[in-house]
Amino acid sequence: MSELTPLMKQYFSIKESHPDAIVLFRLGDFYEMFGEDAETASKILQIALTTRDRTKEDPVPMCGIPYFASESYIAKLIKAGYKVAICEQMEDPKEAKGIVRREVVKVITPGTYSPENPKENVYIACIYPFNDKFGVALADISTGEFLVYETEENIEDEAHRFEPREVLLPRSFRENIHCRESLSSFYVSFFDDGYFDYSEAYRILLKHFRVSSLDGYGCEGMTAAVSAAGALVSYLAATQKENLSIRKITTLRQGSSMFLDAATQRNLELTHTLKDRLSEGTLLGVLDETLTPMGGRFLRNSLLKPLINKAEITRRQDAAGYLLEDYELREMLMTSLGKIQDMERLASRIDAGTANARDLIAMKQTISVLPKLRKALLASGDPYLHSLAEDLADFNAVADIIGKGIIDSPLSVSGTGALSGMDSDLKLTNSG
Amino acid sequence: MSGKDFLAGLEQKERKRTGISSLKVGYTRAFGYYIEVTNSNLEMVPADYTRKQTLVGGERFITPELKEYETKILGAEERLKHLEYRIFQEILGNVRKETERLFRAARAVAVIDFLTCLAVVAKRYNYVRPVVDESGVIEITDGRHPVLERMPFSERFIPNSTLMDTGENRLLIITGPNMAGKSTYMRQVALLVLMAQTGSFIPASDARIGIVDRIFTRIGASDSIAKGQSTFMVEMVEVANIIHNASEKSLLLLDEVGRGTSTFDGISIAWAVAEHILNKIRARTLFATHYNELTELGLSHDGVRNYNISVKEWGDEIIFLRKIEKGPADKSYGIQVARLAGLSGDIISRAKEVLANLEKDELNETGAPKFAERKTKKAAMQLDLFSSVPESVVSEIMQIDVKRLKPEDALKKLTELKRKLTKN
Repeated sequence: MSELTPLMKQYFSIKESHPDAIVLFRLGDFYEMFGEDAETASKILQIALTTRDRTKEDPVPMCGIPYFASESYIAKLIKAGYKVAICEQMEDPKEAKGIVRREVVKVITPGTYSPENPKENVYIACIYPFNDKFGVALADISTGEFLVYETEENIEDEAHRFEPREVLLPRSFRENIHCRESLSSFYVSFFDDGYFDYSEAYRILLKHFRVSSLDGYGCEGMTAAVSAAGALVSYLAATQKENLSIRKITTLRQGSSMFLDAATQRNLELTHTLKDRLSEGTLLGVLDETLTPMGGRFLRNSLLKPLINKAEITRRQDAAGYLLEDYELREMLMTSLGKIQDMERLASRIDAGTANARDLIAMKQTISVLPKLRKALLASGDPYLHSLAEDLADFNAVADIIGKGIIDSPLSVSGTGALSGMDSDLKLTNSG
Repeated sequence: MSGKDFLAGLEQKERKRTGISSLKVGYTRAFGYYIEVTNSNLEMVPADYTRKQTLVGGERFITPELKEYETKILGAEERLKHLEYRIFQEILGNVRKETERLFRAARAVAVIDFLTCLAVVAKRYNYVRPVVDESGVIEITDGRHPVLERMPFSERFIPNSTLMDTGENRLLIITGPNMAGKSTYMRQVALLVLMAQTGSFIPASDARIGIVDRIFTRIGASDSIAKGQSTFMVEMVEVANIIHNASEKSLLLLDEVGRGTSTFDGISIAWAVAEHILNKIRARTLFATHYNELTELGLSHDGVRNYNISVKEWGDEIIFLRKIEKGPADKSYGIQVARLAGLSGDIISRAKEVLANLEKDELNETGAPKFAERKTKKAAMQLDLFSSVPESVVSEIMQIDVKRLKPEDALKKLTELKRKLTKN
């Protein structure tokens, strides 16, 4: 092969550090793919394969997608089971000396990709086999949820409990037949064993959550779980870069909920039918009258993890019974809930700094509904509903910040053209 | 002055200056601002116009004045972008300070939505609040299958009651022909228990649910069969899992255990499994089978109750009544079911002939319930076969690549494995 151009040299050095992902290489208004990536992607995306240097005898295959339409293309690649590394231009081409600096800003993997169904969590599960048990860590990066626990059940049942989109294992398990067999229905990624090393994992967790021990989360001393959790945080940091919103660890107590093995979950058709994995004709399908994505996820998780504690069950029954009797309150709640958007995911994007103007407006509209909800629930006679109302704090100040700064129906997603009250000199541009 | 005014003014001014009344001032994303003049007026264009772009019907020009305006605009656009970005980040930063509280509120909304959903469904579909306690009793009056009762079937859904406990009603043997609804009934019980333990109300007229710690099911074929394991092997692995993990507080659903092998093997395994659950695990169990022989289990054991799903004979036909009732099924109606399924008349009548012969033979062997007898240790040993093989041997077998193994190597391997096993 002839001498590489500086641009291609840059490309190959980036590609080298992401051998398992399709690298989308930003060139002006396009994301380009080269070599094998281009060959794979052109087939999946059904786009033309071309080459950058037609005249050379061994041209590098290439294909590209416009950046503004990249979302749908990325979705197709993920669905086809590939990871996608997004490589952006890190400086203004006009100001760059020589070649523009480029960096991978994010690696999208099946377990870290935004969901198609808002009423479902998208989990990535990290499993660490240790002695006779497994340490398990789960994250949903769209909601910021991070769960850890230890278990002695078999790995397949564990995986099915959360239906993760991606399972992360230590690299040394790549050839393990048992793991491969039992996880054959999942997308499995491997990560260097070093990240699972207990002391390394522990150090990473303390650093990420900025704490001095894990006591506060209830998982101090859970060796296997901590190893899995640390590895997962490292993996997420490596793929999501700075856009990661995981703020706390929730430790699941073993025996705090009913354990349903994979076969039982399937046989009872709780969330998928045996035949075609649809939600119609399932228990979830007939019970789901939730009005918010958060409520939908909560219901789904409740069916997969029923309670075994009498007091907890009775508390829910009491509240549901109260709402059953109080027609007015129920109607009022339904009207209000219908106006609430995916607050959890919005909060998560705000926390990660990836929220756009529309997200902020959606949050403003959502929190404007809360005071009414709170008032109605505080007036109710049920202690559980009462305690939930306490958490619907006053967000007037937040709504004000957003309302004063951003117009109600921003055209642009990125923030430009979204601000209200710009001075007239700048408004000039919009009329050209 | 706004941008629109400036451009309109410029257009007026240039029209007057050049005398071209069709002169237009415009903007495109690719080329920026321009003054457009049609071909017929090209000779009237003044000297300070610089050509920018040629079109089919005319030319586009720029003047120093317009150029200056363009620069100003583009600069402003750039400044605007930066400014907007900065202000936006500032707003985002301020909102971000509240994320902790926002998350907590989101969580509360999720629960409120969930509870409202429970109330709405309970009201709409006439559910009842079950008494949930630690009694170990599962008592459901007129329970309905939550999913099936909502299906737009022509057949009306028939409610059924259930009584289970940790004493006399520990193991319910459910017999009845295929298609009568044994699995549906078992699933219904499990679903109602599960719903009750999520805090939901349930489709029944009255219910008491003693909390269960786990629900185990062994129903139908699972998708592992696609992986190449035999039906029977999969079934036995699932049964083994249940036997190892179930506790006294569990709820077990076992459907047609032993179906995947020959009749006598099947009945023997089903019998032994049922006995083990009854005496060792003592879990509440629904045990559906079309082996009528199993109904004799109650003759020699406490805690067993026989139920059947009733069927009515109508001449040569059968009608499914979908109602569970006490006592064993009188016969299996397999041939009638085969007719319903569409097997042709000559096959059906031949089957009847064969059945008559078999039943005659069985009569010759009358006596005590044959299947209830314990035949020394043989049966137990058979069940132990899988668990007594050391892990290492199993994993060795698993690692053999059968496609690449030469016959002589296979023989060698077999000898080696056998030696290992006898050593143990």
